[in-house]
Amino acid sequence: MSAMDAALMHETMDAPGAAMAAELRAPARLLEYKWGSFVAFPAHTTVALIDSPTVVEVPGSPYYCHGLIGWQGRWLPLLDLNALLRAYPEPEARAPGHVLVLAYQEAPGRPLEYGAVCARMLVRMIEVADSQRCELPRDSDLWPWVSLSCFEHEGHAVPVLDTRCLFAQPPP
Amino acid sequence: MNTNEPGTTALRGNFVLLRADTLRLLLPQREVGAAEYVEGAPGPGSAGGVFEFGAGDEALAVVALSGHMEPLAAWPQGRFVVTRLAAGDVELSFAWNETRVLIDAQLERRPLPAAMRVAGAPIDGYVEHEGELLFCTTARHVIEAACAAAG
Repeated sequence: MSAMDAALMHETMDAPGAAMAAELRAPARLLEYKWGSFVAFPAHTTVALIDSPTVVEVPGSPYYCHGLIGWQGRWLPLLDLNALLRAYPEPEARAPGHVLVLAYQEAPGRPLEYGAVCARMLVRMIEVADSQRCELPRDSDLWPWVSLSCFEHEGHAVPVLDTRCLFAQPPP
Repeated sequence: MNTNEPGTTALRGNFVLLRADTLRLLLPQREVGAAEYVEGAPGPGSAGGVFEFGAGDEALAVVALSGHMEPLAAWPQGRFVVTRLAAGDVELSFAWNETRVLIDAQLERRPLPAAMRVAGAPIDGYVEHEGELLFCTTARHVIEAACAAAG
């Protein structure tokens, strides 16, 4: 398995067989979290895309958290990646158009848990090769904490995010 | 909702649901005083975010919280019910759209997801009741949130 494959499969959930078969390229979901800026998630961590969910705001929650959304009998935290990465909130909170539901495990062997992030646009499935590996962007101090790896795609540096860091650990 | 989520705990006892617009709080009944009904609009109080019904020694100072659990600067429509919350030596009255006592209620309390937890935050869990989310809190947290936001 290449270094990029290893990063994309870093999380310990069972990956689909088709993804494991791709030795040189690994699938990832590409999400535009702000205009012209992208992150990717290992494909096996992406679970569902929801249009315009109802958000229940929670007083006292972090500035990067819109609230809770209902999904399949659970209430999931909805995070705004742009607010998290730039370390201050949007001046005017807007209802998210799309929401990407993501899976994570707090530790190997623990049950799957779920969270969600805002998506400006529909997410895209892409394949990533080890040769696309590049440095993390420098526009947020949080990239090293939240990223498994980074690759270049269509002229953009695209960090691959660790869903466990996003949902199971508070930012440093 | 899924009853097998990690951290779910059973709650049983008497609780009070306090609603301020979209905000629904759940407190132990022992921390909430009897409900009083108020009519008309109050006058300004001694500090920002505080309103007064009546005058002189009979004046009742009241705070009206927003859906974000912050004191509103202007008196909102529909806040007819006032309850006094007590935490130690501190007491403060709050106006609500609705209060409801849940007698001998059996509820399932879920912790907030880890990504939403903040030390000292007023909400650390929730229950689902009749299709609505009720946020678990205490009188102390409500009073502290009101005072912190008012400065």
